[in-house]
Amino acid sequence: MNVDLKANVGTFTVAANGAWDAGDVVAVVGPNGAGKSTFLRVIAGLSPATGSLQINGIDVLDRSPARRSVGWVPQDGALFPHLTALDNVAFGLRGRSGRPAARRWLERLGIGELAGRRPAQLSGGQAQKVALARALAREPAVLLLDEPLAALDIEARVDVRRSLREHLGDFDGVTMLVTHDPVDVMTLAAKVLALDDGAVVQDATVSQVMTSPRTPWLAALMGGNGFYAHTDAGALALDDGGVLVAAEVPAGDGVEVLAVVPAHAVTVHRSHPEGSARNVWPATIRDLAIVGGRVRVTLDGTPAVLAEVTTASAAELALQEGVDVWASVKATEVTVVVL
Amino acid sequence: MKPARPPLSLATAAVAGAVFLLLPLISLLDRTPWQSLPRLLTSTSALTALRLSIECSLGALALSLAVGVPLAWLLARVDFRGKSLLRAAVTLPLVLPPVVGGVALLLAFGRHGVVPLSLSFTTWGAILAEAFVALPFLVLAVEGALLAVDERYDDVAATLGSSTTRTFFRVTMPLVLPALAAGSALAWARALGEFGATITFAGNLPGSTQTLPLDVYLTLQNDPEAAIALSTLLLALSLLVLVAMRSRWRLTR
Repeated sequence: MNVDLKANVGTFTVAANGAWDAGDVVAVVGPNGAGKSTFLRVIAGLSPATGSLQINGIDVLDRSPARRSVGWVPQDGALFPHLTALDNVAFGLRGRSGRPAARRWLERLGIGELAGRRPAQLSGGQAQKVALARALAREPAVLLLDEPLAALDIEARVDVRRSLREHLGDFDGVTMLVTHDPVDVMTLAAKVLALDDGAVVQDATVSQVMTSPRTPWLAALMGGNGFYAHTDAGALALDDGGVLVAAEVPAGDGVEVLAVVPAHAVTVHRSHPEGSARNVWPATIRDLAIVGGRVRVTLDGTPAVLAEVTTASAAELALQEGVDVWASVKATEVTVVVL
Repeated sequence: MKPARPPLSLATAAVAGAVFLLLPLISLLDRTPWQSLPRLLTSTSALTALRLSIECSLGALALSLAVGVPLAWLLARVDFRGKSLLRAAVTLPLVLPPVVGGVALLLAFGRHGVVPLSLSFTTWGAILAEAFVALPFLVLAVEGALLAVDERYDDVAATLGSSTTRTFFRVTMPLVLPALAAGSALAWARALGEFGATITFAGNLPGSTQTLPLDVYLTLQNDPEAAIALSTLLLALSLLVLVAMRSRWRLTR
């Protein structure tokens, strides 16, 4: 699939380009209002756009949604409320073989016994699976999933995510998956298309985005810190104040970079540390949160930074909101992404 | 928390209102000649008026459905200049004195009208007059329902290969069916009771334009008992519509 599109929705413009191969699962990420859903709607043919959109080598931009070979699953599935699960899936299939094929798809997704139920009688996870079956049953060349897991509770999310992984693996078209959850990015997708304010900010593999995110938002999505900066006398002068020393800094002054610091690489101290860390600065604890057995500490300072410490050390250091501490980061932990 | 006792002044006014609404109906039932009702309702003139009323009101309903559903769809789903003007025009018959509607119809479709179809003083004229006043009920009910239907259903249907027409009949219409039924019931009841526009535009010709309400009005002069009997019949039909709509609502909830 080759995309080079520009769409105007009211005063908002989304411009995106990229190329993906059959079998690719692409996580479409970005802050709220970045244009992710609009991008999907444009590919589906539900919002007008200019440019070119090639699916299987054919430009389909002037075709109606019905003739583009796309499957679109909006948030919460949007099953037709007056039709049973089976009839929902069969809606897109014509002819005598439609219903048996629809039944086979429900069975493939492990929900064959729900065939006779109306959407109102389905749980969120079940409805999402029916919506997925409905889209997959037409064997589209492009599958567009708009936050398929966002509306689900944790248990259903795990269940539907497992289904998605299985069936996206079997799916031989391109999948575009809008998500806010880094777990989805890492478990479901191999590639990332990052949007911000209607434009592509990064188009790369998941591992590239994890090691070299190009915006602070992406760095935060992957659980770290990202600071816009420029090189200055062998160190990094941060745009929002502060200086970081990195092990490897590109030659010359004034090179625009993103300085990336993983949260676990930020150490928190009650007094000025004696160790070898090159970056040490005073900070104040703004917020504490326990995530996955570790404590995420939001620190105000220059720069403001997110740290992640073990619960044991958080208790030992008696970390609390409002407490003045020292933050330190080794120069080897600061990655420099040249922009 | 229990609701507070209503203030005495409010309660008194509310009871007065209820009495005001119910007393005339009770009086009608009280004065209905139940013994001779079968004979009165099966008299030739009553049967003729009843048959004509059913025909005209169903014709008006059919006409309203044929043009009302597309109008509602247009108002709910399509953006165009003058939309609010069209909505006002559709709503106007709700508040317009029916007799004015009758005069207007006469000027539009009468013998010397803008479109001289000579429909005045014919059964078609009666149907047209009834449809004119009944249409808003249907359009407003269906438009409201269409606005409430998630437009993503249309979008999903389109990506599933459905044409706009197929989506309209397979997705949109089933979803607004309860509103369509309710709107139809209201429109039919309004058409059945139409008086002012009908008598002005279609006249009062027994067998071709003299519907039940017209018959009641005229019969009241010389045969009050027969008029009361016909009124009771109309009341029963109205109650029937109300009951049908109530069960319809229960189904959809």
